[in-house]
Amino acid sequence: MIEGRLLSLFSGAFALIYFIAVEWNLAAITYHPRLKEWVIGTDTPKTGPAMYWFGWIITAAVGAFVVTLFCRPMFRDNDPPTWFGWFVPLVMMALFGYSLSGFFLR
Amino acid sequence: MITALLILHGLFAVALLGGITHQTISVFFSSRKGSSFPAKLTSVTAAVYTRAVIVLYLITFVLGGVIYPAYRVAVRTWLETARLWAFSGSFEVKEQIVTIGLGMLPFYWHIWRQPLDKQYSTARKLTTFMLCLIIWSGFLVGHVLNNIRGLFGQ
Repeated sequence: MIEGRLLSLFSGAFALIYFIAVEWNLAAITYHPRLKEWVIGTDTPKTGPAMYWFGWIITAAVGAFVVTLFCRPMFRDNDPPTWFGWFVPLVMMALFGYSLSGFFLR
Repeated sequence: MITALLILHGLFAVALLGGITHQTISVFFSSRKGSSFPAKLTSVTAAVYTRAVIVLYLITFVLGGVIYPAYRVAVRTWLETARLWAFSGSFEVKEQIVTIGLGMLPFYWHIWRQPLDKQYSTARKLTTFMLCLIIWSGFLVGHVLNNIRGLFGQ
């Protein structure tokens, strides 16, 4: 479905979309651990906390798959840069470090 | 049940640590001759670890996902009550970087496919090193949080 040479694009897109999904809370599903209840989409907390992590992963995986398929014609004759596969995730990790720094500065 | 899964999660993480650490060392240090420990450590064939690392990462990740709701309800609530923000934040960082690591696995698999492609040699080094850091940091954070009430429960 996706050629190996396009996987750098997938990994880069996954990291980028995952960061966006977390920052804007775009979860494909929500889990309510106290109720043991799954809800499709981003739901507000009911009894106890709501967990969005599973939904963010699905959003990122589906999003990266779609982006890779969409960009496929652009890379028909040449491979996407390999740095997409490691540099974009590295930048997203640094951005997460920054966005979560509040926990360490209290 | 959760305790058993947590122990299993830890055991798979230890195996994963071993695999990725061996692979990273052999990628960065040229093999030495002889029968000493450093010589044996650096002379392993790095590529053979790839599938094991991917499978162990996936198993450890799924087990982590299974026990995560118990952490969210019982442990994180306690961390917040105890105002241990740095430890709560450490888990948040772990959660995000191990997920980014999950997304890197397809690319990691591709660049380690045999016969090894020379054009990926830099990407191989950097990706393997990044995964090594992700796995080590995830393990250390998980280990400290697992013992948090013993360390900071008073």
